[in-house]
This record gives sequence, C-alpha cells and structure tokens, in this order.
Amino acid sequence: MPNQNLQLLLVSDFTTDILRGYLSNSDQTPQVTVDSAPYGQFFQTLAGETEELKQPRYDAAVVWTQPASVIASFKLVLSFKPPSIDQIIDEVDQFCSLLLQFQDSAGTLLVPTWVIPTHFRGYGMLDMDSELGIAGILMRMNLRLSENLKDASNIYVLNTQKWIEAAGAEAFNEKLWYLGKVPFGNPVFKSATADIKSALSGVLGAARKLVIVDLDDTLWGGIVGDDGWRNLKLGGHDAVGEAFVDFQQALKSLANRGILLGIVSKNTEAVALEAMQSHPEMVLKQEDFAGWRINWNDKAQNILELVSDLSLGLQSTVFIDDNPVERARVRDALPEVLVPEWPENKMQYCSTLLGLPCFDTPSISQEDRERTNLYTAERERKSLKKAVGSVDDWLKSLQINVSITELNEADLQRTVQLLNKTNQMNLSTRRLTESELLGWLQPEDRKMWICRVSDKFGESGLTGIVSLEMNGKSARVVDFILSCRVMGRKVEEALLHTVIDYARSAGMGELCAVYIPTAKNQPCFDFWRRSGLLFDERQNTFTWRLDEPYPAPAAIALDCDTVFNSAEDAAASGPVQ
Amino acid sequence: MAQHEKITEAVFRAVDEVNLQLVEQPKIEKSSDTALLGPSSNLGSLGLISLLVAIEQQVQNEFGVALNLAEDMLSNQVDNGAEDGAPLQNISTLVGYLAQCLDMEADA
Repeated sequence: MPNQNLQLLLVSDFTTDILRGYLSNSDQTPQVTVDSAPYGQFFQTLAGETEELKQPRYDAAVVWTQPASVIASFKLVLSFKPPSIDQIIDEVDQFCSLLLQFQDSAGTLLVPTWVIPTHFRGYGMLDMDSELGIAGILMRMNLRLSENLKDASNIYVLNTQKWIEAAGAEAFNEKLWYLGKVPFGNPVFKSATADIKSALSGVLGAARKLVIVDLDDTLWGGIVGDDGWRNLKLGGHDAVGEAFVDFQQALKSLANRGILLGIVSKNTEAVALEAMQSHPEMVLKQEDFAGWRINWNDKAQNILELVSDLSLGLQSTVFIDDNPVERARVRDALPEVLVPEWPENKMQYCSTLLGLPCFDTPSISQEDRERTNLYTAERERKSLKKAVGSVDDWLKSLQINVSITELNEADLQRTVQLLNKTNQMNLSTRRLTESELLGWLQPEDRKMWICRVSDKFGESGLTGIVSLEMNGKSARVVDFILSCRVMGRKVEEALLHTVIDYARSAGMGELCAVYIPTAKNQPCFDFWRRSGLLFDERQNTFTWRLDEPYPAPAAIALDCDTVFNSAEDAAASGPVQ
Repeated sequence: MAQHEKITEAVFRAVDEVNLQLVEQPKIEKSSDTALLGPSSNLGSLGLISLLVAIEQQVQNEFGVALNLAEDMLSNQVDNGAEDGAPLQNISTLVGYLAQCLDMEADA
C-alpha cells in the first residue's frame, strides 16, 4: 500500500486548487493523483450528470461544501430570519441522498463537516440555541449528516472544525475568498490534507498498529539505572511528573483502539521492569506491553526483532524516543518505521502523541480492543536475524567528536556531579566531594581527565571521566565513568585508548583496572569484558601490557593532544616513584 | 542583514509555500529574474493571488507592516504589467516595489 498511487476526486463548491496542490505534493502516504470536479457543478457531479470527469470511477472522493451553498434554508438562518428546522433537516436529508447516490462512483467517500467563519458571532449568547442559534442549528445539521451516512460502508464524515481550530486566526482568509473563491487559509488545507491521507491510509489497512517507546526520559523522567525507580519523575506534586503520567495514560488508551505497545530501551532489563512493577504511580505495567527489548544492543536491531516477534511489519510501527540520535539511527536503518519528531518539552509528550495522524482506522472491532491481551498471552518469541546497516557506518555518519582534556577548575563542579550520580558505566563507583577530589589529585602520580562528546546533532557536554594512579612502572585506572547519554557509541573505547596511550607515553609497563561490582554497574563490567584486556576473575582485575598500543575506535574523531603533552612531561621527569 | 535581503528572503518563503500548491505547472524558481506575470510566468491567476497573499503575510511577520498587494495589483491600482520595471515583471522588481512600500511606511 505505501507505494500505491490512488486516483482522488475533489468535489466542492469552492476553488480546490490549493488543497489539490497540498494533497499532490504531500509526502504522507498514500500518494494520490488528484482531479477537481468542474467548478460550480458539484450538484451535477454528485448526480452523475457531469461527463467531464477523467476517471469512470475514482479510488476516493472528497465532497467538501459550504453549508449555505447546499442547504438553501441555512442562508435564511445566516440572515437572522426565523428558521424552519424541519425544512433544514429535510434539505440535509436530500443532500445525503445525493451522497449515497454518488457513493458508488468512488471507492471511499470523505465528507468534511460544515463550518462557518469564526468571525461571525451569530446570536452571541443565543447562538447555541438548537432552534434558533446559527451554531446550534449548524451542529444539528452536522449531526444529521453523520447519522444519515453512518450505515454507508464507504462514507466517512471528517471533522472540519478541528482543522479550523488548529489554524486559529489563519483559518479563514477574506482575500483568498474574494479574489479566488478560496474560503480557507492555507493551514486549514494542510490539516485537511493530513487527515484525508490518514483516512485513506486507514481504509487501505495501513494504519500504524504498534507504538514502541523508549523508557528513560520518554516514559518517565530520569535515568532509572542511575537514579533508581524511587527517584523517577512520575506523578507526584510535580508538573513534569504529572505530564509523564498523562503521557502513559494516553499510551494506555491506544490499546482500546487496538494499538499495541512495545518497549525498546537501552537499560538493564531487570532494573527497568522492577521500576514498572514497583513505582506506585506507574500507569503502564508489564502486562500492558505486547513485547519489549530492554538491553544495550542497537535499537534498530531490537525494533526489527520485536516487530518480528509480534508478527507485524515495520510499516505498522511507530517509534518514540526522546533522544534525537536514536531517532536518527532508527530512521536511517528502518525507513518504514514512523519516527515522529519528539518535543524537548516533556509537557508536550501527551499532546504530540494524541495528535499523530497515523492510527486512523475505518472501524474498531472487539478483537481490536482485546489485541494486547492476545499478544500478552502468546508472547512466544520467534527469532529473526536480519541485518541492518552496520553500527560502525552509523557512528561514522554521526560525525562523533570526543575531546579529552585534563580536569581543570572550571569543570570541577560538573565533574563531581557526574562522578557522584553515574551508576551504570562506573568502574569503582567512588563518591567524592569537590575538596576530597582535589585532595586525591594532590600527588603528581594521579591524573584525572574528562571527556566531552559532540556529534552532528549537537553537544552532549561533559559526559566522561577517567583517572589514573601511577606507581613505579604500574598504572591503575581508578575511575572509568561515562554518562548513559553516550554509552554504546565507542566513547568507552576512546577513553580506554587515551588512558593506555598516556600510560605508555609516561613510561609505564602495565596498566590495570579493578572492577568493583555494584547492583547497577553490570554494563561497565560488560564493556571491560569485551575490551580485549586480560581478565583475572579472582581479583576482578583487567590488565594490559603497555608494550602494545590499544587501538583507537575508527568511527569517531578523537582529540586528546593535551593528554599526551602532559604525558611527555611526566616521562621527561622520569618514572613516578 | 540588509533590508533588501530580508525582503528577498520573505518573498522566497512565500514562493516555497506556493510551490507546495502547484501540481502540473513547473515550480517557481527562487531567482531574481523569475517572471511573475506574462507569457514567461508559470503562475496561473490563482497562483499569483496565492503568492501575493503569502508575501503579504511574510511581510507582516517580518516587518510588522500590513500591505494590500493582492488587491492593489489585481485591481490595477498600481502599474502591474509585465513591461520593464513594473512590480510584477519578476521577483527582482517585486522586491524593489516592496522596498519602496516599506520605505514609505517608515516615512509616514
């Protein structure tokens, strides 16, 4: 379906060229070739009396009219004359008969509701009176239109008022009306284009059926691996916490429409699942998700595996992640997955989700509503090994820069913060105050470096720390810390390369690192285990003979010149005693 | 940024908007010598109206000045022909005309 090109007909009492342009040029699927029925002949077109149409039958048609053009009695209402409600309803019924007569001329018929310009105040305080008021009567007309057409299997009434509200002051444009017989401003036609395409997509069975979400700073505020589930921002008397609860409720409500939920997150699975089950304000529980991949692997590969497990296609999938780098990776590797731009403002998460025009379906069955339960019950995994673009190629495309410099006073506060809050990629989990750290650095045989990471999407800032203690010909890595914001992007390898090269330049013979396990730093152990250093299980110690260089990661640009200047100074003063 | 460049950018943003509305005809080139009226122009009558209304909006947003380009030009209140120097001859002459309008507003 996504590559299908539909023949679409616009039937209207106003100039539709602008709408036709937006529909034709929009990237949103399905693609459409659009014809406009002859101007001023919409009644003849609906009655089948127009011979100028290019197609004998269209895949879809949009019949968009202004109320006073098709319901003559409504003109009297607009003139503040006493209305005949029966007459108005009768005319609405006649118009619906025409639509039903026309319905076989197109596979799908979309009928936007009637609206009047927002500047028209009508009767003011009486305007919602359903026997007198212009707004009240218009609501009755639209309701009658909807009721008359509800049993037609291929006719759908679209809500124009939503497009008007979204356009605000630009909804109606008098100049375009008087000069070109175009009643609406461009924003209305853009919203209409999105909804028309979404409806056609739904009719073709191409609505998205699966929403995969990240966890940290997406489903809740904070980093569960670092902060612990008790300290997550979720609910409570906190604006952002409330926004995360609303976002979770909005996700949960999607299940009632038959949309499945999944998780793909870089986290330790047990830690993340414990948070979901233990946090008192967590709306979404484990059983609300059809499946998940919570690990430290590439997210694109994880999405591929999860979608396969659920027997869905990538074209059915939406991926939501607060991190623009992860979004870019998934868009690049899995272009069929819809990856919406996501706001930085967490209070906009819920409204952004509810505004996505990708879930529209022509009907909702009981089976749809119970789909999550079916998947939860049948969560048997199938494996799929399908290659996506290599991670190295992706990292190269990110143009990652890692700058490593010796700790200076300006960075002391941020360094102490990072030292004291990082849990996952933390070799020894030392906690120090500023003065304790300065005291530890007093002897000349101790060094600490910090790293900053940037890529083509922006700066991640100070995100890494490594420290070294030298004794004779032996060097020991004391701290090895990396923020989870940049984990898994070869920054770990860059840090290790730098500290090993420093120790070699300083004339050391061997480097070691003692891993001190905690409940949260398994990711750090995993990295060191695959780093290539020799591991002594009894001592929990990794070692490297410094007559061998340690390779720098090829996929990233590394700037560590100042590190080696200080190493040369250290070597010139002889081995540290 | 000089006033002339700001006006040109505002016009180009309006051109981008109108290009999204064109189907069969070629897109409007964002070039100073792109014709807006006459046989060399790709714009139909509605396309021209839409462009002028979009430019009004951009000028309002950028300079805070409300112009009546569409009605003035289309009701011949200004010399809008395709002849040399007329405002709608091409994008360059239109930008020049807009600069004059803005200067007059500033002096008023």
